[in-house]
Amino acid sequence: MTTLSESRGEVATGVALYAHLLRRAGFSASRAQVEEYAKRPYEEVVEELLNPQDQPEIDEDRLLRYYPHYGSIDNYNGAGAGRWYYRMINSERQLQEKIALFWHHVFATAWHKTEHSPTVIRQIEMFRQNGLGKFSDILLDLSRDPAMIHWLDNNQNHSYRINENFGRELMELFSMGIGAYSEHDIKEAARAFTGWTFRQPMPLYPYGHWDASYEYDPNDHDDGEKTFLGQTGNFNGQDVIDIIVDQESAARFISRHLYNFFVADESQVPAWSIEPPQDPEAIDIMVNAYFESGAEIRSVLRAMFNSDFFKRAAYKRVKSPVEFVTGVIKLSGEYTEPDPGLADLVSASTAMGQELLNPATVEGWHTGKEWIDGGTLNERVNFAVEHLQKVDAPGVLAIVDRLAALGRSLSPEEFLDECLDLVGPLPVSDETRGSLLEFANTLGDVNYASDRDESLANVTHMLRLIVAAPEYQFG
Amino acid sequence: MTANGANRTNKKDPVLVVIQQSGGNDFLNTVIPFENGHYWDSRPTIRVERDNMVPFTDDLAFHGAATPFKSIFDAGDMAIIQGVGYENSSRSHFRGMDIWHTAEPNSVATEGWLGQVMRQLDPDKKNVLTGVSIGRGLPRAMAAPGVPVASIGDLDNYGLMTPVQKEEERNKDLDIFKRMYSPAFGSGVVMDYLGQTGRDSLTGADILKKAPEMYQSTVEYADNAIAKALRDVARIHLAGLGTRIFYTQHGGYDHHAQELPSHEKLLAELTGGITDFLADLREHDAADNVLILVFTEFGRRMRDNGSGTDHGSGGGAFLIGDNVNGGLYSEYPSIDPADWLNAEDMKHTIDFRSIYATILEQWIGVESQDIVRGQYEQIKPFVAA
Amino acid sequence: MTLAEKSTTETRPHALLRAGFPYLTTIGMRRVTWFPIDVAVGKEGRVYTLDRTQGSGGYIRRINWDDEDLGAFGGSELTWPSSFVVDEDENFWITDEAKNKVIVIDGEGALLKSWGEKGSGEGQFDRPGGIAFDNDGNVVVSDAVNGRIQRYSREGVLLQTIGTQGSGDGELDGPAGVAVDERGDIYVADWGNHRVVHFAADGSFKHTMGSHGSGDGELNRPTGLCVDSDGDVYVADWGNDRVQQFDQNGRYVYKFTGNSTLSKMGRRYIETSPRVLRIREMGKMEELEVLRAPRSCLMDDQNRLLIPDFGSHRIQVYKKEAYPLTEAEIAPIMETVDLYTV
Repeated sequence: MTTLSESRGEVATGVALYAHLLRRAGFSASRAQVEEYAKRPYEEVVEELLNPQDQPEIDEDRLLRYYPHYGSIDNYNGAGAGRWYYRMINSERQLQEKIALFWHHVFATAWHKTEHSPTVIRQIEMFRQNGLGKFSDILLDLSRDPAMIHWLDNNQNHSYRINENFGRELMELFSMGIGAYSEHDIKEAARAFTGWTFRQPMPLYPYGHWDASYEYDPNDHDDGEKTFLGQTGNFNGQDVIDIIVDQESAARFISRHLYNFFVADESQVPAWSIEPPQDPEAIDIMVNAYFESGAEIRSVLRAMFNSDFFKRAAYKRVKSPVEFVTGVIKLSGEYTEPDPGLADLVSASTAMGQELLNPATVEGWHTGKEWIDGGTLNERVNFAVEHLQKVDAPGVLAIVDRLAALGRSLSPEEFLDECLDLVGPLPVSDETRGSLLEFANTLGDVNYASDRDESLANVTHMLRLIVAAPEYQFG
Repeated sequence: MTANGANRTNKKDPVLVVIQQSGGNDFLNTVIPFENGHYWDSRPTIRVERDNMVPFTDDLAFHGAATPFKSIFDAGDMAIIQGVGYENSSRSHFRGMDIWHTAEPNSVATEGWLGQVMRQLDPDKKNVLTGVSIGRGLPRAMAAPGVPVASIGDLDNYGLMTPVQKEEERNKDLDIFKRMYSPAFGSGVVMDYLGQTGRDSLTGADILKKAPEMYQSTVEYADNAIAKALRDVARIHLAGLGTRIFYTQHGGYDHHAQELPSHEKLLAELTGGITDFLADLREHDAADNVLILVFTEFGRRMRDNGSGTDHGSGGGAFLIGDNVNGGLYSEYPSIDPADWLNAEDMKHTIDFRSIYATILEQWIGVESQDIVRGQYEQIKPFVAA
Repeated sequence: MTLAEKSTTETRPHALLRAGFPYLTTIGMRRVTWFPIDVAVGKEGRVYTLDRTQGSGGYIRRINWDDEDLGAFGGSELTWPSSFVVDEDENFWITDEAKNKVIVIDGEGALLKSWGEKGSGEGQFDRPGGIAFDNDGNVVVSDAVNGRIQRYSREGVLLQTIGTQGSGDGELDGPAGVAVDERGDIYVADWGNHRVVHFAADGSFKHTMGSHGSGDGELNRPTGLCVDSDGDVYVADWGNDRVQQFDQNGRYVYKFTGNSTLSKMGRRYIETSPRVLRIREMGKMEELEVLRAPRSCLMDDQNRLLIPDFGSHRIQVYKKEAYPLTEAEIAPIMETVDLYTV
């Protein structure tokens, strides 16, 4: 068994490598799935994950039958979040959901400003559809997205009185980062996006929400000459986006975002204009892929997943609350059907500090160690313990079955190592290992094929201690 | 005036208990201008009839369900702050609450006003229980980076590994937990932080365990959520754990429909709970350093809709405690339709940040300007020292 | 329709002169009939919706034909209510697909009785989806995951089991709503197979109506249904946002996609909100008309078809206009279509 300090920084291999890939490119996978993938060449698996559209789309009818509000959207963001959880847990198009979550982090749009759920939920659907495509298409769709238009006040950006909010954040938070543009560029970008608005949907009362749709109002568009990032022309919004995506600053900014989300925790975004990335070479590799592919996100991810820096990064990120919750549920094997309680997953990650579809501000969530404080650690540990001590959880039963299949008595050490292996494989520190072994020693040698009740008790007890360990906070 | 709360009559540290009425309380049907004909005209259906109200001045009455408030008011322990709001009041619950929680209506802020207070009260984080929120999750008002807050869903079963039912097993698990989170060399900054956080969390839970064990009282609280929450506040306060800020909420005030029966129930729960809470503290001679603030994110629309009322503006807040100089503060907004904002809402007469500034400077004894982001005229709701 | 009314229904006419099926009215609104999953009518003009709460929970809302909100009840007993019927005493028989029970409450919400537990054995349910009375007052319940229909006495004694899981004739996949006609035949919204399955009272298979699709007479996840005294069957075609009408032979007749107007309570509500009125004025009217994800339907004894418009928080009501024809009044069934008309 490798220890934590040994394992970190080494290139992962075998099942550990595929499990790492599936945690990052998706929301983790069952041990059986990981082992199936591990029979195939790594790069072939990466390619399959990068093309989620080739996998069958999830059938949501069963979900909507039992969670009808997830289909008939009121002003309740839990509906969109619950539906999303079901998809994150069950969709075979795992990277489609993961990339949607990534863009939700970057283009953080919150429900609370309007409580208009249909637009907020449809924005996420937009990320599912375009999230792996060309960055210019993503930004163009985003600029036409009613949820974003309202969130950053572009509906109030008029030819006769500009509102800079969207123009500013488009550059600062969504594409290039502070320092890559001037205040003048912001004003010119805002002018280019005048007239980009949405059609008025019917009000919430008395019959519920209706969706909004993008509308371009040529009469409210400032068609005059603009100078943006050194180029001059009668630019419209699309021209501004085309100029942005050609900038090296955009390639670096988005690559760093992808690295922070998929590879290893970086500093918080506002510090990026000051602090260099922890692995500049990795960013260079991604930036090259960006320009070689015409700024296609899928290509950047391909370069990233296939690189050694990715393979060395297992457990180098603190799991976000949503990753934590989905990881626990995929391990416990629950909610493969729309059972009662699915909606509780939404409140669980909210209590851990990440309310899906409702980030506090446009800056999005702070990540890494900032996910953890006394309260959220309590929530994380207790959530994991609650689900992994269930003696009827399919994932728990699968672990017992595998131990039983060994057909022989296991020493405490063997038992601990098997459990750590099946949970991750999860490398742990000497302190953690020693603590867990102390418990295992109280069990003595056990043949997990003999007494089912004893096996279940031992396994659930060991699992709840493992998921309470500090190492389990990483993914 | 600011230094260490000159308005208090004792030397104990001042404590603030915030009760949030979530959903937008209908102030017009809570403190009712019953002698004003516009009240009866605006509320043909969703009105409190004369036989269901308790007048406490010549022209104002409490909703009958809020009768316990009359006793508190008559005793001089309640300041009613009328017409609370801010310019361009948000009609979104969540945006509205954000604004109240961060004291920032104009842009989206992340730091809560009480989080900033706690940082000032305990800059070295000596006490992990300086701020306590009763209820799951952390209200943004209490949130500030690096400021520990205990969020307590269930005081009788609070802490780590609580899903483990058998106490003996749980204690063994906690021993293992403590070892797993013990300091280790060379494990990295994040792991060190995680270990410290885990140990802090254990400490907080250990200290909090004392509260239910020590508590004894003759006061019997009612069986509802807000009464239970206030009982938890009392139990922690009486245990003397050094908590300075308590936060809890009472939900359900979003009365678009069926307002009359529901509002009546909520007001009875809230006012009864506060009465029991005060009695409990007084029984233990522990009321004199406690101030209660009751607030809501907005008032409701002037005209009713036949079954309830919609989101409006210009609500009201209450300050309650032994050190409160009881009475009416600010002006009741005009309810003459000619004066309505956008032809449908009460105009606020005092900015909510004036109340915050008043509490911060005159009660807690901290500078308010950075927290409320400006200078706001204060009221004088406390008895002189 | 209450049981007493149902049992006095006249025998079925030979054929119908169909005059039309005009839209009549809309009642209810958001936060009153909020997410109505089913509808029932009581005495003295009372109308009930079974409302499903977001996340979990539910309650019964009582309104009337004058569109007055008379309050809600039953909330403490329900987790995932799926369907309900009202009996002659105006008590409510409700299926709960999370509790796996039939739950009976009175008009104050007090629990009168309940039975059932999760499982696949006799007297057990796995997500009961629909409920109806038969003509003897017994209770017919669809048991979705078990792919069957169970008939119980009012005391909860199992009398009969119909159907098995599958997609062949007389088999069911996730059955949802059920209805019983005046002859005792049972109709099932066969959700997973996108069709209606028609059984005789003894449980023998008679025929199916509809097939998967979105064209006329095609169904996408049917969730509820009702049958009138003419033998017409109305199917809540959930996945297609409409209700379809079939005649007693399973022939497609008509579809209801929504014609909603403003209910009285809705009008009163928004008249106090100048901003809502303005926003409404800026929007497009036609998007307000349509049915959104209707889960069930009901024909009352006044020939009114009530459709709980789940996604739009209201009930849209249509009025059937049809005149019975005797065998002597209408030509026999023709073997072919014909362009010759007189």
